[in-house]
Amino acid sequence: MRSTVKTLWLGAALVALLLGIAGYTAFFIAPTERTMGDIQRIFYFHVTSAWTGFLSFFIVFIANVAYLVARKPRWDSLAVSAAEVGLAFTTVVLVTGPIWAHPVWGIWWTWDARLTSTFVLWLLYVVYLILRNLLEDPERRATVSAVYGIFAFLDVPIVYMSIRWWRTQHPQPVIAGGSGSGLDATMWRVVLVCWAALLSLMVLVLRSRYQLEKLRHEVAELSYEIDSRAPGTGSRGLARQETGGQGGATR
Amino acid sequence: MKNFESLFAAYILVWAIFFVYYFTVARRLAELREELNALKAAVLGGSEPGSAKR
Repeated sequence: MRSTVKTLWLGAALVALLLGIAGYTAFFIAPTERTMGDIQRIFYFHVTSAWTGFLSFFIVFIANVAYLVARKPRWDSLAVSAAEVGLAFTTVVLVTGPIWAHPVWGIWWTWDARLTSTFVLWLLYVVYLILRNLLEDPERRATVSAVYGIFAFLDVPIVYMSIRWWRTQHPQPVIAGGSGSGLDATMWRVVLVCWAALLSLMVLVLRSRYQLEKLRHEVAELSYEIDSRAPGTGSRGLARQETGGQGGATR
Repeated sequence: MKNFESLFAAYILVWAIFFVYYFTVARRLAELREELNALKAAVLGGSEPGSAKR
């Protein structure tokens, strides 16, 4: 276990270094954008956080389908872990967007298709996590949240396509946006460095979060074993604080 | 640098969100490991988890 903790901190140090390099390239290597100036440097973490959030929600979607097919609790654990990680990245998108928008558009927020669909995406996964806390039975919780998670993922392509389907205050796509769009070569390289850093962060956090779910499962099973040995002596209260239930799938 | 405050605020918030989230997960993981060790000790020793060394 000590080696696992050491690996975890080593991984965290490596990711911190990568994030530092990414921050440096975004501030000092990327050229200043002609129209918006330096505030455009938010782009390097705003856009890549959105991509990483989408990827996390795709993992939720795959894990949800896999759970419904195989009924293995580990898929449910992966789904809830990826949903929480995706939510963290989408929060970054929703926080950095208005900070970028204010000096450029003169407003913090507008209810256009891109911003609204992104906010709805965030809400859908907040509800996903709340829903899990409302359901007591582990199997029912895993099944209901898997079905809900598949439905929630439908918003991801809507967010992606919103600036292609509708006229929005949000800029039209600069990446994969067709003729007339595109990025300067150095900007592209900085985007890739920043995305690599965020992907490594996603892997690190997802791994830790998944371990957390596995431990919850173990704690729940052990508590159940103790309770069944000595009924009424109650180790369950101790375990329930963290696990919220016993055995089966995880919260 | 124009709009430096906004740029600085955005980056500080990005790091803060990631940092707080990662450390919350790491702290929950450490607490759960302790709880699991206590429960394992209780199962092996046949005692209550509260009496096990945590």
